[in-house]
Amino acid sequence: MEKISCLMMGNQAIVRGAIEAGVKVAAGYPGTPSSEIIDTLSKTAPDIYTEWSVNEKVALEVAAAGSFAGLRSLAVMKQPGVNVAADFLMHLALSGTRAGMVLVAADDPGALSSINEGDTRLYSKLMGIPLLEPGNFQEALEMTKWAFELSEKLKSLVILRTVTRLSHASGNVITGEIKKEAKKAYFEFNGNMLDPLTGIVTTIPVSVKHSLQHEKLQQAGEIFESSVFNTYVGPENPELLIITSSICNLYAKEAVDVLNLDSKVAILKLGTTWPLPSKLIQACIQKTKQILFVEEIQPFVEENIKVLSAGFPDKFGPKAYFGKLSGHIPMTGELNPDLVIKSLEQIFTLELRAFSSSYKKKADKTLENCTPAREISFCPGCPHRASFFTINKVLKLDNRNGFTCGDIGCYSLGILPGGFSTIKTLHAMGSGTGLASGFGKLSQFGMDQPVISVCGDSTFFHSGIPPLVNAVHNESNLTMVILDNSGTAMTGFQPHPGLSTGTGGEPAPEVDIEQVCKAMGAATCICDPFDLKKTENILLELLKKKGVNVLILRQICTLSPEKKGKKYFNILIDEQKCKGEDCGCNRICTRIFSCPGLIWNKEKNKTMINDILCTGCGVCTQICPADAIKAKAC
Amino acid sequence: MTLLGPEELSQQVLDKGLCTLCGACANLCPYIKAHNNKIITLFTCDRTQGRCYAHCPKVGIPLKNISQSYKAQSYTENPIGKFIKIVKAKKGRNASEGNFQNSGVVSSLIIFAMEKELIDAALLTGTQGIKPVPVLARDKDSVLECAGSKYIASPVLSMMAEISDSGVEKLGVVGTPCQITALSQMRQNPLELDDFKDHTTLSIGLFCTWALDSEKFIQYLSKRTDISSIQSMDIPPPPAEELIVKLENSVKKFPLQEIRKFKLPGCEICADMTSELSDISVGALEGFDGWNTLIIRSKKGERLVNEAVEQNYIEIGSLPDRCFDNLLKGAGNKKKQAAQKCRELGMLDDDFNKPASLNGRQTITGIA
Ligand SMILES: Cc1cc2nc3c(=O)[nH]c(=O)nc-3n(C[C@H](O)[C@H](O)[C@H](O)COP(=O)(O)OP(=O)(O)OC[C@H]3O[C@@H](n4cnc5c(N)ncnc54)[C@H](O)[C@@H]3O)c2cc1C
Ligand code: SF4
Ligand code: SF4
Ligand code: SF4
Ligand code: SF4
Repeated sequence: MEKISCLMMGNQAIVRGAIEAGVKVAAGYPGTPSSEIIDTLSKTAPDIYTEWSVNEKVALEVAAAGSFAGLRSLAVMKQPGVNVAADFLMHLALSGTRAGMVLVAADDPGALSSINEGDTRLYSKLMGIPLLEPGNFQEALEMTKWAFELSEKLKSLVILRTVTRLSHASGNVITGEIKKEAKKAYFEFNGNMLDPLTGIVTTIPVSVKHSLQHEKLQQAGEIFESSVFNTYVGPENPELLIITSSICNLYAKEAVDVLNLDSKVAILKLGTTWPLPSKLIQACIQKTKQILFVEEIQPFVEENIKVLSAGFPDKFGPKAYFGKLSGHIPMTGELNPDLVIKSLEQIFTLELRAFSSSYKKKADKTLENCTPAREISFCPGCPHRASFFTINKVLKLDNRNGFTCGDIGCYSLGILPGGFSTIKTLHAMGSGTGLASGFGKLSQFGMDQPVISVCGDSTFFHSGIPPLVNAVHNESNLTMVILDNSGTAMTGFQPHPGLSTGTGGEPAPEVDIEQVCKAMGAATCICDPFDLKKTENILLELLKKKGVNVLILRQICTLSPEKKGKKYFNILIDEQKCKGEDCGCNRICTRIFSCPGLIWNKEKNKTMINDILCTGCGVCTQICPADAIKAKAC
Repeated sequence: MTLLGPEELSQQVLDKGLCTLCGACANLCPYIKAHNNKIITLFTCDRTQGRCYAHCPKVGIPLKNISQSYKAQSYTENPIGKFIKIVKAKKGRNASEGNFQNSGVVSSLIIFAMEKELIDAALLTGTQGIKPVPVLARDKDSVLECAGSKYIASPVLSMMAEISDSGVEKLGVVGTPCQITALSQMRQNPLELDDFKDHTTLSIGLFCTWALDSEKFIQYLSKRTDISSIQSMDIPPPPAEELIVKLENSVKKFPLQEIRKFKLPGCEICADMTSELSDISVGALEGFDGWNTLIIRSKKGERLVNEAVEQNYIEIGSLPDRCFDNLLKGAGNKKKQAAQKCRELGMLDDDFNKPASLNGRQTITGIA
């Protein structure tokens, strides 16, 4: 087959790699920056079984089943999802796999779309799983493909770690051939219990399996010594050796290039970061006196190479090490070429050329009029804005200092002023209701604040059910508000078990959230959050009730394929009636409610409608105290 | 008085627990609401001047009055305010019967004013369970339903915004002194709004020394009696020192010193015992069961009383000197104590009514 060169997103390159490797089973849970992988697979490769699983642990289990039955399989998740899957992950690492199995974990340095900054690489070390880190788009394809072979050879799961800037940026990629092989799935279990390919699949006897796992890791280390994914570029005896991995490879290259340091600085880019290829590293370090580690999130390579050097002091010799631990590379946040330039300038005592604050000011000024001055907020017509407006109002009216435990989804924005700062705790998926369950048991210590938890529909299935069961069984007092916008909106409308469509858009049996809650014994009701008064009255009553109450606020996301572009009302402002900033309103619509569909006209002291942005949900008509916002049915 | 806004209202009154629930700041806008006998701020309003502050009887004009009076030591002169005539009064032959607090002068005058079409509705205080609630009475029966004093404070004036949209042109208002003060502030249209209209044509003020916090008081009562069977409550004038609670089949008495624990802290800074800014003020009459004290303050009030007497809706007589002296003494003491308390709280300091810095802004600017 002819090789084609085309522009691909990092995530697409990973998909292509998996297809070329002949993957047969793929499962994941949506999470930025990983979501496009399963989305793309489900759309482009109908002969692969692709599924959006209920959560990451189940996704890993579904994929593992494929491997156990002899099919190459892929599990995909963002880093926090690895935490969710961690329990099975540890056991899977110990039990071993059969057909090639790869876990793609997408880290989010700088927490661009996350509320944490976890580093998956530590799991490799913690659980003894070989780790690969693509350093460019081509490698994203080739490493993925190779990861399956490696996994099959070692009979071990392999982790492929990508990061936001690799997953979401695009580059030229040359494709290879697709492995086409019809495979029958069959789970063999009658062989010798210790035979990885025919016996039972488990972690026991642990003593045997654990030492077997270490043998596999050793074997991986040996393979990695000669891997083409570890590259050395630069002079034979550089003044400084940069050791890097992942997308930081490109940042390092650019920094060296900008500073014209190619004759002084070499770059060792490691593609195989656990176990580390110690001999290769030794050989490279011997060429220089100074080493700079350029990596994101944890000082993973840095610390582990220092451990190696402590083990072989005569081979490594005394070196000057720079990196996160010396303060040359920031401990947290995303890296970029500029930060690498800064640290090189420090090491080489160069005049500072990294971009100055005046440059930033100029850039900001240029962009000033390109974006409206407003805080991050929900989309126009978003049901969450209406829900949080009411929740916030009800908690105030209730007057007992009640509060809301948040959860993960678009609605996490409820912690910001755009969500009326309603959310007061925000952690992991499902944790809002877990925390609420705990708070709801503290009355014996005098706590009399009512507790609400908010939980999205997808989050409900992912991890909202166990804490709800817990609350019911332990007789906690809480009101769980399920913000049901009928899809996993934040990551791009992936379906979930509450919907009647499956991963590829095919019909699927739906699991009714209301029935599930009722079956658990929670008093459950449903309301449309766009009906502000009704929602307010229901919620006011629920807060007075003891026990576990569930209120499902159901309204489809405005961006959902069903709703997008559809307008229910034409909204008009009666300027005669609009009080603007006068006492009696002080523009609650544009100042507090802040739907982007509403525009404030300073000159006129009146509100206007942005017809392009307004989705015609009609909620603002209920907020205006002067009856100045009118809705006409379209 | 410096006209300030909601932030100062919060800082000077609400956060300090000095609100006496007149309701004048509430329901005028989407930010401040009266709910369940509490004043609740829902979202931050960053206006530097507002009706909420302007109407509040716990800031501004009354304080300045106290301050002036206090410095001039003029309380003994006339602590019951300006008046035309002061008499004893009771319900007349032609007035309806009802569960009145004293002799039913208030209810009778309101019904009479309705029948004479001086007012077409009255803003009164009724009950929902044991809790007092504002009621817009449009006929005799609903006035009678509101008879009797509720010693729990209720945000009566929070209904004013709703009433001004309801088509009532001539409104009578019955309220405690802080409510009557706030009503007077409202009627002056302090923000000079174009669309303001004064619908009030009659104000009847009650005498008052304090009102109770609903939550704490109800909690106390519910531990000691079945609150659903409470018919009415009375605090007879001194030296009785008790709260009498009439239940369905019995009467229970509670020592006043216990009950006083639940009085609103804001009542301690109230310098008005007799609703000095009303058309007519009505209170109990010490030592004469079945009579009221009646103070006529305005011409309109005088006309109404005269006609009501003529048509036997009320009956009046001269007020015994001893009662008048006691009234002056009581009202004077209230002023003194209020002035003392205000001074302790720094409310008489020159810089008390200064604008607050608005750091609690909750503004998410739209596209300007
Ligand atoms: C909180 C409070 C404290 C009082 N303290 C004293 C006092 O110390 N000395 C004294 O002489 N008199 C006091 N009074 C007045 C007294 O109790 C009688 O209301 C008054 O004498 C009129 O009697 P009446 O028979 O004519 O009233 P009624 O004809 O029975 O009518 C009573 C009227 O009072 C109104 N009302 C009832 N409760 C409230 C309330 N919480 N807020 C506003 N309006 C209400 C009702 O709308 C009704 O129209 C107080 C009243 C209240 C409400
Ligand atoms: S809420 Fe209504 S009155 Fe207030 S600014 Fe908006 S449109 Fe005007
Ligand atoms: S109707 Fe109002 S709240 Fe809804 S999208 Fe339009 S401007 Fe926003
Ligand atoms: S200033 Fe006016 S709009 Fe603002 S809180 Fe006060 S009454 Fe409401
Ligand atoms: S005293 Fe009246 S105006 Fe003042 S805060 Fe309380 S309810 Fe509002």
